[in-house]
Amino acid sequence: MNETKTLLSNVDWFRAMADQEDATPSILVGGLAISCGFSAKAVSEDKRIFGRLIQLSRRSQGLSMEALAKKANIDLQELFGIEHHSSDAPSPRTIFQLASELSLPQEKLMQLCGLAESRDDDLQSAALRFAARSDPTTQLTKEEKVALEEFVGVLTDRSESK
Amino acid sequence: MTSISLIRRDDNSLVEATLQPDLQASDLGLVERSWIDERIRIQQSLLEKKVPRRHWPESLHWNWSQKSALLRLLEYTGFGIALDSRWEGVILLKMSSSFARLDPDKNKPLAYVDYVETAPWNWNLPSLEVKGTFKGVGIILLMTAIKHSYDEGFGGRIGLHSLPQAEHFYSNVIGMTPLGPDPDKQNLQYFELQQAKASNLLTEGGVL
Repeated sequence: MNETKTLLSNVDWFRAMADQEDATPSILVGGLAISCGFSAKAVSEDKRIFGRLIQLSRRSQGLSMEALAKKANIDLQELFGIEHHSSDAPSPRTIFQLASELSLPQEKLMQLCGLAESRDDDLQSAALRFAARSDPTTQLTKEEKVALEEFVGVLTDRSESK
Repeated sequence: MTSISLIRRDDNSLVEATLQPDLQASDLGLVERSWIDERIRIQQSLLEKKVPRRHWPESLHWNWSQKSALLRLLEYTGFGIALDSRWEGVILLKMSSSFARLDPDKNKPLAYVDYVETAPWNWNLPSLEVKGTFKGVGIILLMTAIKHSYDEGFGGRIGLHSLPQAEHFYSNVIGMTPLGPDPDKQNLQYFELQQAKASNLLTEGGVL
């Protein structure tokens, strides 16, 4: 017979401690996150989305990382860092090369990876929806294709309207 | 099976939940799938209300599902709070190769808290005027860690690296001792709970 135990039998103590916990902003610790390569500082969400956009755009064209790096004449290691958002901001030259090869608007890519100021909240919301609907597996799913097309559409519209 | 109670914020009622043992790091990817929609909704709200990023919850950018392959390689003991088929909170502990740095427990083994989080729907978000569903999740998870440390012969000693927003919780609520920023962990503040304080907590909480 499985006996059920109760962890915290002093309910009054638990309530008082829970109220104190409630008055603090967070209980987060950094150990596992740092082991897994997450920054304990706030990583730019835009940089993460930039990496995802590059990856999906590459895959939608059936290109390996090596092939894209070669076509765009950029360092493979830098491309790997971009797609896994573990590198510093890419250089403007790298962004220009990637924008050209992947037919993406360079100015918007500059904003996404933090090299240019962005004041476009609609773009940020679109970027977030895109990130949420995409997942880094080998073949683009139907949903990823739709997400990518929609986001590229937003990027392109906003570039053309300026 | 271990029963615990969460406190529903809107009416302060106690809700019975279950403490599930034997979680592995690889389970975190599964937990994340149940939490990701709420995280995204919170991020969208923060963007829409133009809340400065320094006020965002610090874990919003952690994407565990992308790290699932790495998580399978890691050795952990974990516990989760389960209620109505949902995970309300999770804690992962490393039970080997961590030793106390603080006297009088120096060099004795301790349980290292490598991950602890409450489900996003339980977060209080003052910038969004949002109160989460349940409170007390953090206390339950930390007391679980302390008890597990005690049961494993580590005297209830625990250690962890706190994110900046959580330092007040660990120093003032749990009563842990800060040992200073750790350059090996992105200068996060390292905290330890000494055996004597752990015993007090376990007694006050009615665990022992």
